[in-house]
Amino acid sequence: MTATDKFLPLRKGLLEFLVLKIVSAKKVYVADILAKLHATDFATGEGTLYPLLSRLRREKLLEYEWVESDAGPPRKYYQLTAGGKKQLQELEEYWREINQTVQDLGGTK
Amino acid sequence: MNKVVNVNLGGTAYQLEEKAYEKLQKYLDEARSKLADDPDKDEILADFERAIAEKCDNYLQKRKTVVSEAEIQKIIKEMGSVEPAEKPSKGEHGMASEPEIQPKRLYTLRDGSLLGGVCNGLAAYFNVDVTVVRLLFVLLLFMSAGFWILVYVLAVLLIPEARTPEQRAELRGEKFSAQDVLKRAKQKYADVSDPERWQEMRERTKPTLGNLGRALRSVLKIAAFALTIVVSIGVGLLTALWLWSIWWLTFGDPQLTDQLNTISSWTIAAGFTSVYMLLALPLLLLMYLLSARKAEGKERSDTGRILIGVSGALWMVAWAVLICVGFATYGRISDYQASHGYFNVGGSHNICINENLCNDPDQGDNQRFYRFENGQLLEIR
Repeated sequence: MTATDKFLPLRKGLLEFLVLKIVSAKKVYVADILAKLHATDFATGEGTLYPLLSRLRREKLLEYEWVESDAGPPRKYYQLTAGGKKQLQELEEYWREINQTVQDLGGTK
Repeated sequence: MNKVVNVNLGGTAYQLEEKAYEKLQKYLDEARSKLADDPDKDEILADFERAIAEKCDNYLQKRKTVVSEAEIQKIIKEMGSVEPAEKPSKGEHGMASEPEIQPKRLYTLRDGSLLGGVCNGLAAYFNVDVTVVRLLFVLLLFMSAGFWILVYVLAVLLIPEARTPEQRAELRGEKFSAQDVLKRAKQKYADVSDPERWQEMRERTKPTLGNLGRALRSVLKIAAFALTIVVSIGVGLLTALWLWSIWWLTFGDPQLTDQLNTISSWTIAAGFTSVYMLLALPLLLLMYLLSARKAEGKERSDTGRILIGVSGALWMVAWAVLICVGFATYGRISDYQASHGYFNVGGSHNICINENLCNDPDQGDNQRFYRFENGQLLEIR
């Protein structure tokens, strides 16, 4: 089992955190999010992202607005709500703690 | 030459090869079934269609108006498999792991019971310590002079026994499912196969209620011990009294009053014996309950069941005998009074209208003597 396999559940769980991070930077639509993730180990497709975004919207962490597109159908542009910003802060804080813990435990260098 | 299918994706018409259409149809059907539980299913599917439309646009040019099968395959690959968004994870102490509340049903529970499992079942039903229920029962037993034994026997007869895991779950008001049983079994196995966890679990299964609980427990233990001694002395005294009364009736020379003398010693002995049983049986059972706490396992509850059956039956017989003796004695006394010229007019006084017949020194001040004179009843003494 490779390291990538071992961390598969972890990556799945982290996706929500990363999506919130990406959306926090500026208004984005799904292709932007996918492009950002594409180069990383978190690369994913619309099949995963849309259901996730729809859940985050139900939890009132995200909201979207329709923007007309020059080519093709109108696009949903996502941004964080106040609740989403707060949630992201908490997640970042917790992520730092976890990182610290990982660093502090054990003596391997 | 391939057939072409016209489709509407997000409000725009696209032309797909027939094979491409079939593939896309399959993908969207799968997406629909995977998202069946998602409240925003329709919106997400519309999102998918728009995303696919955009991707199709990339493959279309002025002179290329049809999306091929290979292109649709690429698009589907890019979309990736549909992953329903999980519910916000609730961790181990979330609501998800909590057993669901189901309608409860009362059963008797034989596992770890002393007698018929009635108290055990009630404790499980109301989710309280079984010791509390037992002590309450003993208290009721005392206050009702043993009458609650009957209630207990009736309860054993009327309340069904929880035999299956489903019934045991129903008793506690938990939802029963095969998965739960597997989960519990696995948990148990993990617990017993690891010595540390085993120790921990043993500690846990002992009813620990914190310091207050431990204090209460030791108080209860002392109380139980004291109660055992008091009850033993009580039973001893009762037995001695009963044996002495039987001896006295048989070999002694009972100086009974004239009225009682007409009743046979056998009847009196039967009366004494039934009174003895009525008082002593509940006490004996209580003694067993208090001492059986230390005994182990199935053996204990079997003995308990036999014991409660026998003592319950004896107890009822004793009641029957006592009632018969009561009627017999009452009959005898009425006969005696009638033949000796007494009229029992109720209350504590007898009326005598024949001085020669009712000169009974035992009656003392309870007698009033009357004489008829000129059709009037006159008190003479």
